[in-house]
Amino acid sequence: MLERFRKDFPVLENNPGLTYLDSAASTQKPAVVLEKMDHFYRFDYANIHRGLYNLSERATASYEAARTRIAEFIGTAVPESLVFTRNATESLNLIAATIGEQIVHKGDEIIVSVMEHHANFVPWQQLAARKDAKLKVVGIDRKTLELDMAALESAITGKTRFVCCTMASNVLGTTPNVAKISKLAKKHGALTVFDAAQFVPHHKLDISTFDPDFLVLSGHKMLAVDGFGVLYGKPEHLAAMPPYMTGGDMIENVTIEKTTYSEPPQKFEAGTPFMGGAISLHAAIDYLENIGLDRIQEHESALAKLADEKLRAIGKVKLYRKPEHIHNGILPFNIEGIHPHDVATILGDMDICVRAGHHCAQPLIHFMGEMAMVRASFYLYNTEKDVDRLIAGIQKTLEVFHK
Amino acid sequence: MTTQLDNMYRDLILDHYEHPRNCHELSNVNSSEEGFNPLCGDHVDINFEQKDGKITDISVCTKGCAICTASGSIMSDILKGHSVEETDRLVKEVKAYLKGERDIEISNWPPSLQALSGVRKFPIRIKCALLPWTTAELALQNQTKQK
Ligand SMILES: Cc1ncc(COP(=O)(O)O)c(C=O)c1O
Ligand SMILES: [Zn+2]
Repeated sequence: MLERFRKDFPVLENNPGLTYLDSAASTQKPAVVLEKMDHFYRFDYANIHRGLYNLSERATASYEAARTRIAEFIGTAVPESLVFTRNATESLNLIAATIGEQIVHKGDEIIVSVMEHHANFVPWQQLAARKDAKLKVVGIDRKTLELDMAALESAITGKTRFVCCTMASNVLGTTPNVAKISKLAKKHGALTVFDAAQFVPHHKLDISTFDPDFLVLSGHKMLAVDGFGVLYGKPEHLAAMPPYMTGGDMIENVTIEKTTYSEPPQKFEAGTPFMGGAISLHAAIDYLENIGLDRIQEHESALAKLADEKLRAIGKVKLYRKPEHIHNGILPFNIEGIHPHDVATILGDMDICVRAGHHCAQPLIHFMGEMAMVRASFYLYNTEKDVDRLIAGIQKTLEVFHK
Repeated sequence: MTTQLDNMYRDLILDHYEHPRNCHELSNVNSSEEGFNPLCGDHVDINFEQKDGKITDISVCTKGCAICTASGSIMSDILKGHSVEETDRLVKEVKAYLKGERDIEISNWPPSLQALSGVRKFPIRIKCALLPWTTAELALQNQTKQK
């Protein structure tokens, strides 16, 4: 259905025969994203917010236009509520190191889900340890792989400062009900931190429907280049938070005695930023919306379900949940008696790219009673042919291991 | 399938993976070490029993991929009965060979050890094969230090 978009991706064109099923780790880039970036560096580049000349003004305008576009894309009318970072990881660390340090005290609680990526787990675990606060981990239902809402409800108390939860698990694809989580957190006076890194590439996001306190994403998982991420923070939080890093581009006035800081978001963007990254995410969003996230989600879910069905037919493949609980292109599995690394090596030898290991989510892998998992992740440029090649690869793997 | 893949997943390797040797309790543990491969989660637990400079018994328990498990199992078969000195030399030689650091003549190695050679064509899997050997080396170093 989306077949005609595949040719937009140079890496796929330049590697005929490649079956790329690792988009959850990072997506390939459409030519138009690379071209827009290239054009920026060829025609409009200068340092931003500094030069009093036309070229610098143009560069600044392009950079800020990206902010406005990304804001619109995630559902806020306030571009200043977006801070540009290097990636989702940096965005999350920023939150923990600033407002986290401010509001978490001894005896307080931080709630995370067991299916967090380490990026949304370790900063909170470490903050809790520094503050002598308690990290509470909410599990998932082992059958549906959905977040255990009842457990969350009983975990949250008046001492809970943060509820930190993924919007789409990078291992399972599970998409927790963020509106419910947000409501519950508000009722108890806790702040919400949503990790949308794995959600935005596959689902339409509108933060106005659930009003998060913070939300993060990474450009490279949604067709933009690597090294550019976003932090959304409610304006009142950003205004009250101390800076994360200090230096150029974030000050209002510096004397030998003291420094006053710029308003957000500049307060959190110390140093010359990655302008090309912002340009690339702007272009990526245009590209995604032109196709339509609904269609993308439908397409990749259909491929994941097809793969699920065919893997089931082989037998010997553990699929962890029923197909009706598949909501995007993320498909975790394991083959009985064959370690995921061996599966990935054999698939890799056939030019089929999947991820194997703990997927930076060790608490989850452990919770699921596994050492590691294989993950195939489908995206808009994958086709049924990729599913067939995956199945052929799995059959080969079974053959190699005489299963 | 490429012959390189065939060469890595030989029947001998698969046999050691399906039936790893020498994972058992030792009555006397003189040195031990645990090894992790953070990239893929391989885990190996090695214990040596030694007497008069000789390795009298060894236990290698692996949780991991076929390559790591087979490598540990093969190693456990080979090291038993060797002197600690010989073991140390062999471990260093195997490590250098797997890493491709220098040309090493392996025709005099036991066939099971030669079977590990296929991994050299898969750079990211070399770590898997190395883990039991580097862990054994650390275990023996621990022991020498304790003396
Ligand atoms: C759900 C989720 N959160 C956070 C991250 C971290 O993203 P980055 O490495 O771009 O900071 C990832 C990346 O794998 C992810 O899948
Ligand atoms: Zn391994």
